[in-house]
Amino acid sequence: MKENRNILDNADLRRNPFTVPDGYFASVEDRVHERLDEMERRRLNPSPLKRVLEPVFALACTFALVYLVLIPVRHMSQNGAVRMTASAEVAESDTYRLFAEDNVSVVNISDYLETEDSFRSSLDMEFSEEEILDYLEHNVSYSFLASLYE
Amino acid sequence: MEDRQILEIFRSGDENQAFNLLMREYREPLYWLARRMVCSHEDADDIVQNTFIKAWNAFPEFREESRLYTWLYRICTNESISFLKKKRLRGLFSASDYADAMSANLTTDGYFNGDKAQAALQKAINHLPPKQKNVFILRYFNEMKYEDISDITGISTGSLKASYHHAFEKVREELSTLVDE
Repeated sequence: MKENRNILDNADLRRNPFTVPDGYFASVEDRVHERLDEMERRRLNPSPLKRVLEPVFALACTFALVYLVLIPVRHMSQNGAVRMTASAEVAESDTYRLFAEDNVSVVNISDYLETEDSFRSSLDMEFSEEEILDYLEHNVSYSFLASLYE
Repeated sequence: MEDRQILEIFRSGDENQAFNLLMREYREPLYWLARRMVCSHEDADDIVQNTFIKAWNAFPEFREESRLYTWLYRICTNESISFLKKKRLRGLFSASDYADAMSANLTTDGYFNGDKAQAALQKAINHLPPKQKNVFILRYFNEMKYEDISDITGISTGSLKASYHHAFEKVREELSTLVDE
């Protein structure tokens, strides 16, 4: 281990093994200034293509953004509508289930409605005195009628 | 020229002159740091230019809380690490390992005149993760104090010592294997 550690302690390993092309460092300043000038030129005078494309791109981005916002909103509202329709269907089916469980058929309901109608129509009917007396004679006892009179 | 003098010239309004002096003062140390990090001359050149361009754009906001020296080294370090991370990411999608590719280019590079041991050392360093590699280079080659490395990297001296120790051990192990081959 000590021997291995000595490998890295060797001063020659710390010597710089890299070189550069002749005159490289002297050229760094000029090349940095060239790049800065180029960047400034581009900032002040963007190319015609860039000038045309930039607003188009901005517009496209806006549409994309609006679209991306609308999709979830639309999706959510659709889901809500589906949920409402579904709940209405469930309510209808519940009613149907209740009828089915109580063995109330459509025929029964119509019978009921017919009975109701006949009852209402009977209320509207006019009875003659004879008919009333005849009904009482056959359906009500004399003792009950006598008690009413007292 | 000292940082103080460069800043005085900058404050006097001669920004171009101050910037030129700054580049003259720091172009070489920054280049060698970048070159150790990325090996290739062209890539190191790009990193140095990017460093100065970023420094120029941020120069008006430079706060004298830190030294120009650590400020520039920080920019250069970040540029180098970002470069290596991008390379490594691209390496994930290619068959060849980016570290091995760097090492392979080293021996064919016309601007490398190191011996076999130096090539093996650089190869071992290339296998370190970018941040650890940076710490190793600043400490081992530049013999920088941990306090200065801490100012540059924003990492505590305790963590830096641990990081350097790990890096040193990894390099030593790999180097001993390479030398034995």
